[in-house]
Amino acid sequence: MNRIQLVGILGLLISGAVLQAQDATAILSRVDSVINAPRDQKATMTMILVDKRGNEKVRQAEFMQKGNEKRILRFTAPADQKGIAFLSLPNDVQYLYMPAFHKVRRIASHVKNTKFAGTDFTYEDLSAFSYSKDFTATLLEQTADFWILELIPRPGAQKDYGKLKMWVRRDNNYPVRVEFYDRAGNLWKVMERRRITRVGKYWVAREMEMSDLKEQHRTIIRLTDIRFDMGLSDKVFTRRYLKRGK
Amino acid sequence: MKIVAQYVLRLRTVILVLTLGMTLFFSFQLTRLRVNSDILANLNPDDPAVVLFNRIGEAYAGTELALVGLEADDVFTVQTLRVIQQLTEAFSRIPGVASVTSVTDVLDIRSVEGGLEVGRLIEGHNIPSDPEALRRIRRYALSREMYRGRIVSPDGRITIIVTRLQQQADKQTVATEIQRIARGLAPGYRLYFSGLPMQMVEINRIIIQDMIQLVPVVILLLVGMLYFSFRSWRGVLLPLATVLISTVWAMGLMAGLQVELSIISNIMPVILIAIGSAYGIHMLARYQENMQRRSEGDIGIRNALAEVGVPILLAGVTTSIGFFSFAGSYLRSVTHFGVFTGIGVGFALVVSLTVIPAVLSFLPPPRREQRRSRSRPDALVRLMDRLSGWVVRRGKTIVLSAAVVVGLALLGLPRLHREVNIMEYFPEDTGIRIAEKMMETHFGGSTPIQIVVQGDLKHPAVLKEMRRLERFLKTLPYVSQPQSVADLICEMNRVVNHHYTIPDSRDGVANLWFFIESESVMEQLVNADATEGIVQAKLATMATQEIVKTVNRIQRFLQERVDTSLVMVEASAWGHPWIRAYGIDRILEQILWEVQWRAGAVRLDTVALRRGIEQVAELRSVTFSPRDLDAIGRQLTVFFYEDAEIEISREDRVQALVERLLQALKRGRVPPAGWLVQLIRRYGGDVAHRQPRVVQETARSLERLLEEVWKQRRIQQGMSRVLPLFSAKLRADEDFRDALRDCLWLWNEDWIAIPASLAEKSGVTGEPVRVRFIQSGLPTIFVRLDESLLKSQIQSLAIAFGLVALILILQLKSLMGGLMAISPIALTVLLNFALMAYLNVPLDNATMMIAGIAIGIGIDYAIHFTSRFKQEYSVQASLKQTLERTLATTGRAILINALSVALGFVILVFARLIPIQRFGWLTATTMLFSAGGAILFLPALLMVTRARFMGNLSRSSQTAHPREKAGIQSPYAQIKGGKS
Repeated sequence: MNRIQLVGILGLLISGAVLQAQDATAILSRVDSVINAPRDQKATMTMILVDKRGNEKVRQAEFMQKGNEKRILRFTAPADQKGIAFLSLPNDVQYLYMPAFHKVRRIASHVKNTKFAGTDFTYEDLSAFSYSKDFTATLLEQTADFWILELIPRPGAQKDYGKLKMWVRRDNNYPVRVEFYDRAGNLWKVMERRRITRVGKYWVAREMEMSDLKEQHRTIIRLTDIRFDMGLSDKVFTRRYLKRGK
Repeated sequence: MKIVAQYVLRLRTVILVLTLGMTLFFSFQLTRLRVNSDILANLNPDDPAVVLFNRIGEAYAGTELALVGLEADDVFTVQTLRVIQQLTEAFSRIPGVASVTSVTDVLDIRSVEGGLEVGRLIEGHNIPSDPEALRRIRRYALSREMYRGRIVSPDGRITIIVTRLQQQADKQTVATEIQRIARGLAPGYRLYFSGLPMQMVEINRIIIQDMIQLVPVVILLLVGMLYFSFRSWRGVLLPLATVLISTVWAMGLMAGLQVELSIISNIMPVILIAIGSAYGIHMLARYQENMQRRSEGDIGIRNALAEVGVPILLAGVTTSIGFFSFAGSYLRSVTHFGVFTGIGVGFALVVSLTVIPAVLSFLPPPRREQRRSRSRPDALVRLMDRLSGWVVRRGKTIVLSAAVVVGLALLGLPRLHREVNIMEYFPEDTGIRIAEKMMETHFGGSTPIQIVVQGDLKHPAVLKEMRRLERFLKTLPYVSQPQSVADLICEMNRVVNHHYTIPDSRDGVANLWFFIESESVMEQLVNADATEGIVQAKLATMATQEIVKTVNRIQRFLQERVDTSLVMVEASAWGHPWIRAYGIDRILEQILWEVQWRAGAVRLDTVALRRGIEQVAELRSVTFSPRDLDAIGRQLTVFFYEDAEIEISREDRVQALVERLLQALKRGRVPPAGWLVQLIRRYGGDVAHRQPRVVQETARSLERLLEEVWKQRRIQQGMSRVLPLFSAKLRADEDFRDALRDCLWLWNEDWIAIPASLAEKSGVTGEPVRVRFIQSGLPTIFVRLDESLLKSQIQSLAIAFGLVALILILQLKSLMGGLMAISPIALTVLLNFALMAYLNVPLDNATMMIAGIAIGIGIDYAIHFTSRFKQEYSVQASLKQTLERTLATTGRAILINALSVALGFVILVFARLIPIQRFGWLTATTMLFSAGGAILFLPALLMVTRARFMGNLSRSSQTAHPREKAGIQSPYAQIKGGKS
């Protein structure tokens, strides 16, 4: 406790001098590197979908990721969706496995703002991406705990959002809250990352919540059994494996 | 009445202060009067049909859709698509909007080589400018049932942007904003606004506009009439103040009780002003008459009140009864109108009898100039003289003609039709009707038929029943575009498995469901836990009779031809003759519906078709062409290289494996599972030995793949037996061929749903499935409205006639006399309906009220006439003279009163709503009819019967009113005399 305060004060003193120089772009690239730090990861994902009437739907999936572009998500619950699996590969290549038909189908999608599997996260929100690549950042404000950035889509980047407002923790560069605004400047969605803890070398948010204020729908994602750097083989991220499961 | 009159004069200050206070109080209430433009809020909320309808509207967001139609020469041009894109984006930014769907962002899932593509029909941010690309998109969009007639008109000229509002959003505000933005961003395009939120904007405008425009007109008319009659400012101001005060009270009371103003009750002020003035006029006229004879002010007032109090009271009460008889109508607006107008009439009555005398007592007596005005209406008196002469001479002719008219009227009555569709109430040049017409012409209408489905909506048996219902719905006239979650599942199945059917397993459905679960359209089709959903279709007619017919046909189908209790059995059950016959029936029925929908009623050899269907079921061995085999070979190769659970790295082994499989297929059947396991083990190399489970899994995948290939081929082959039975046109129709294939696909399924009764009879068992269909939607509400319209009409007639007859019987102290006296009103009511029948004016929620009002107001004339007649009979020498005298005094007054009330009602032809217009001129006509009944028919009847039904007239009147013998006019005679 005391040490944290001390570090905080020290940090403040040191950074005080370089405050103005604290480049928003640099903060954003640190955000990118914190989010995409692990070489690979595996976790159990619980998704809670809450509609405007408060009805909840719970889904569970096994989640694996290698680097920031290969990812597999296999549903384990509810029973009638068990075995449905998604495989995402670089260059927007995605495959879907439907166990009832024993079929793998490639999903070509040029619409990234399609919602992913009933959640409030779009394929785009979930895809491993770098904020720096798609947005230019300006520092709006800094508080004792946060840098508050405004992110404007770079020209050419196809985004539904007009701007983003991001709260970045100063101690670990973790983005804990992102507000998504539509092109008219109305607040549209809010993403919060909670229960941020350190697992091994990495910071990870064990809970994420995305609320769609227009649709009045929200999704909470909880991660359990998180493991990093297990040396997952590339073979895991293939159609064959998608089908085989386990 | 004299005592009342004394009290009124003694308490005159209290009365005036109280009136002022109440008027201030109600004026304050009036500021809180709210307009309700939601037509649906007008329905009886306790009716189960309305409860269901409201629940469905809310649960499936049906009442929250605002539609903007945009018309261009061609929707598919860069400019137009850009405008649509701008509108789509702008709408989605309006606070209170949940989602927007348009051609530039509607989701499009299509099957592509090796997979499926999820995209937008047109990428809004990236609209192609290449004309060829645009033509391609146009062709594609218009070829798909998902878009054609749903989001783009079949001719590609009109497109619809659907905005879904958030549930708690203020519908009118959002709809107004949408209209404003649309007009701003799409100038030069013809725009249409449809859907409940849009209609609310227009109805709100109509309600307020009618009030603002009609009330001043009717006030002006009243002022003119009052001035013409009295030629004095008090003659104008006092009756005018009376109606204004009573209108403020009635409307203020309405606001205080939180009753909202809606499309029928908004004519309340006009009607109150038109009819409520009569009481003040009578009071004032009598006062002025008295003042010409006696000079003292207070005595004149007291006498006037004492003399006209009772008749005014009687007239007011009967009129109120006429309005109260609408209470309990199905439309709340009509009930509110009846009750509050009735109360308003009561207020006018009270104000006339208290405030007018109180005010008069403070004013100086009127000057002599009134004499001049009394000598004016000589022309009318002369007309009455001539009339009485005619009646006396031609009494029989008149009664006989009346009998003929009654006959003709009765003959016409069956032609009277009813109209309850609220859409029909709007004139054709209103936005609502224009949009409605456009929707009817290009998008299959906008009246949604909704059928609630209850059961496990992820169960194939339930979904298949929904599909079957949709096929049936399509065959009904005016019904099109049925839509449900079953279609989305079929669509997904087409993309994944290449046939537009419901998968035969619950897992299969669940897998496809998973993919579409997040689509916003799902909220409009199925509830959160998939235990209830709706089948929607569009109805393209506004004619009540057609709507009723359609609702009844659907109802019959649901009751007689849908099994609610099903059993899921294995496909081997087809072997049972009864179950097979059931399968054939099912396929045949759906094929016939497809044919009927596409080609209308055509002659078909159903016996041959039935045989053809059965032959497909018997196909156990199929033949593959070399081309088929080539394609299957390629499919198998990809399978082993990419998808198979087992990884066989040697190319030669994969090739050999594929070759063996093709050889096996050539025998016409899918090789058995055991053989496949052996085959894979043989060619699978080391892996196959190390991982037997992988071999098993691969064999299972392979079996599925081969089965599917075989099933496709089987149906293809079966098609050749069935297809020749159809016309060349149908054979050439690709959509029909697809539909036929999908119908026959039933034979391929591993699990089938059959009625529980059939399962029991055939001795097979399986998983029980329950499904229930309940019809809802606006058409069912129209049916209820239609039923209740007649009920309301009969109720209102019975109440009004009953009470009024009672009053007449009491007044005349004779049952027969009362019934005779009521005959002019009965004739009037009959004539009203006959007029409607012959002029093709429908009975609707406004015209339904005419009879009640006619009785309530028209009965006054009969009361006045008979009462005067009785009085005159006792003083005149002959029946003829009695009649002459009655017509010259009361008859003249009746005519003037009827004309002025009719004039008030005629104002309503300037109202925006068609039923109100019809109500206005028909009620006006009816007023003239009832006046005619009282001064023509009733006298004639009296002449013909020698007035026998009036009882022993001279004696009764002598004992009742001795002072009339001395030539003093009766109160009735005098009010009527001054009734101008």
